[in-house]
Amino acid sequence: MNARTQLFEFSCESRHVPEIVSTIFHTILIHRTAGKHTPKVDSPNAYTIGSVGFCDLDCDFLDYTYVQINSNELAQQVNQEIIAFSEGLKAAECNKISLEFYTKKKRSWPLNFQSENIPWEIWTIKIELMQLSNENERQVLREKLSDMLGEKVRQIIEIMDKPDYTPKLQNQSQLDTIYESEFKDIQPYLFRIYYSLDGTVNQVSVGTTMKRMIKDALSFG
Amino acid sequence: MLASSPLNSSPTINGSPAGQFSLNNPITSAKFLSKHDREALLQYTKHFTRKAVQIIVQSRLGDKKPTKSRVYAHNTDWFNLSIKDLAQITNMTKLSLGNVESLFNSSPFCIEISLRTPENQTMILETWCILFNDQLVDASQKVCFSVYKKMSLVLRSLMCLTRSLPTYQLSRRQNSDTYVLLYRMYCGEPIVHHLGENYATAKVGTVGTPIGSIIVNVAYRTRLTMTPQNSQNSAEYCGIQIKDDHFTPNQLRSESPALTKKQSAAISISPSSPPYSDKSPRSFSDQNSLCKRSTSNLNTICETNLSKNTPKTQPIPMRSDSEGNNMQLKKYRDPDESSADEYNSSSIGSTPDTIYYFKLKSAAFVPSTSFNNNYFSSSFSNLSENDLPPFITLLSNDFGNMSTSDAKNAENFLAQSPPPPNNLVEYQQQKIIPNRHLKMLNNEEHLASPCSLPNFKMLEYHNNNFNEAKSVLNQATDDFVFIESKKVAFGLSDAADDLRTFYKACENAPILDSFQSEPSFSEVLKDLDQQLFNYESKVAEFDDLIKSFEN
Repeated sequence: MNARTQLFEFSCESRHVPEIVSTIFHTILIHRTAGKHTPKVDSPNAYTIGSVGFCDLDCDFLDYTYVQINSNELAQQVNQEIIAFSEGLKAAECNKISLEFYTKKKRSWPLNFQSENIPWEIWTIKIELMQLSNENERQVLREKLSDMLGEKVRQIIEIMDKPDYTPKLQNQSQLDTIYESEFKDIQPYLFRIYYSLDGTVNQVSVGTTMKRMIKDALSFG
Repeated sequence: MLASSPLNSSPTINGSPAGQFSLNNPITSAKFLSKHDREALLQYTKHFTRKAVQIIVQSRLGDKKPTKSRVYAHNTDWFNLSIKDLAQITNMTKLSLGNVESLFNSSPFCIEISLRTPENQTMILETWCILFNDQLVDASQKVCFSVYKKMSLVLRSLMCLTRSLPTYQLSRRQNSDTYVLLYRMYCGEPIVHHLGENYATAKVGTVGTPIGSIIVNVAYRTRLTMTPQNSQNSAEYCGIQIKDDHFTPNQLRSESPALTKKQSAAISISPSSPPYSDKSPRSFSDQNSLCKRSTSNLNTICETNLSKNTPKTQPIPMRSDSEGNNMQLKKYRDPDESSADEYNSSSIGSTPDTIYYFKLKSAAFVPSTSFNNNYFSSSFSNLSENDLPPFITLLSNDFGNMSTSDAKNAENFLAQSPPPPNNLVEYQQQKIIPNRHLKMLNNEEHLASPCSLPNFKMLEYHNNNFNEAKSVLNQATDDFVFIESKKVAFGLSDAADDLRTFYKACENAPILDSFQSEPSFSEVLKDLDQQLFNYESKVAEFDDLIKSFEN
């Protein structure tokens, strides 16, 4: 199954990068985070779901306020990745950052391979850095980026409204293969953030495809 | 607007479900929907609508109120979302929505966000709509799980979308002194024509159910300007009224007649504008909700002030219409306007940039045309007699290059103008030779200052071949033109010659002796050594002399 992909492109200055990426990623994570699943003691396949809180964050360099899930752990993890990406972007080591939602697929004996991560949705932001010479251009860019952010958020909302595939929790044992259980107060889908440079090899090659086919064939045994 | 509500024609249905509903109601007519699912769907829809209203209205309060994530949800955390329920909003929603079954009866539920200034000028900003479409059926959706989960997703989308619209930034800067945001709820078709031209729409989400789909969308204003034309387009609700003398400066409001309301200039709300006087019966300091209960129907229309708990910040000045600005500027650009001299920078819409300099009236020795005119290089024939400073024709080079006939005409002209020019001929006969050679500056240098016109010292002395009349005029191009008059004020009868004699004597002063005798170079050197010796020997005397000056 191929993962759904969505690409957003921005041209901005380096100081806009953290706020743009945070806005996009947190808007996505709001739609991809459930309340904390707590298994019930008396029933093995039943669990209680907590509630998700929200908070508003004002951008410093843009005229925009975005909403994020009120979770310090989630915010810290996402911010660390964004800061690392910003540094890599300045050093021209990368220009794309991706938020990937995946599911874990466990392997059974005898081929006790490690569980494989199967992405089902990938959101990518491609940044092109600009260097402006005067404040007028910066003000124009600020307004343009603020409007663009609003458009992108509305685009994300439109995509989220589509009846596309999302992993379904069949039983309690599948909880860790679909949801991230490290956070204490929320339960987002399994996700990872990575960044790359446009043009580098980060694609599925023929060898990896054949390897996966062999694994799938043997796993039926 | 209330007249368009379908509920005007039919009363609201209250009470328990089942037998009292219309047979055409989808939720009651769906036979494949179990009773449990039916009740669950009603319950979900009711709370979904209430939560949606809470999200919309709270996002326009102007402040940020975070909510905590909880491991164990509260009873009020419907759809696993921690959204605080403000009692006032809940009560208003209950009163406006009434029975949630009306939503399934093709009666959309709308939330309207508007802006109001202290002068009771209102502008509708957004119209949110929750409606049910029985044509979009999704039988695969299970009420107790899929619908509930999708409702949660749509509410999250609603939370994100409310921040992405322009009204959010306005709400963050609302202030009781400038403007406040209000909300209004009603059942019926959404009203969008008062959102101005080119209003935009956005869809929040769709919740598919086995009997139809619940759709949430919004129409919002994109042009955030307040014009008097809004009152012409809208019916009775959006009436923007401006004062008749709104566009006149403060000084003129008591003088000029009232302006007509047909002026299509925009109102620029800026901090420099004079403070509004709150003549409204509703005080903006009143934090209680203000409700108007309509007697024509059972729905309650409530206008509630959203300015509660708002920080006092500078509002975002609305973009003023360029046409309106031009109209304001045009008023003050007209030189015939007597108000130009009384222009006050504190007037609404006025800035130092809008102050225009009017034409200077003709003054003595100052040209009335633009300062950029090359006064000296241009021919004087381009200027009228009234524009020329007095006697400038006597100094003009062009005038000196004129033909004999023209010179004679000039003489006649001079003869006509006081004082009579006959003495100029006598002046010439005495052969007064000007001993100063004056150069005319370049044309560009003449443009330095209009006040330098006319500068008689800037005129050139020509050595061209002039006729007799020309030579008279050119010789007269000296420091000044000496015009004699036979009659001298308060003087003796023969005093006319005194001044001329004195001037001639000054002109013909003998050369000093020191300039007549020119010693040789060797004599100068000898004398120079002696002078230096004398000066060095008398240094003390010179120092005492300088000290005496200091004292």
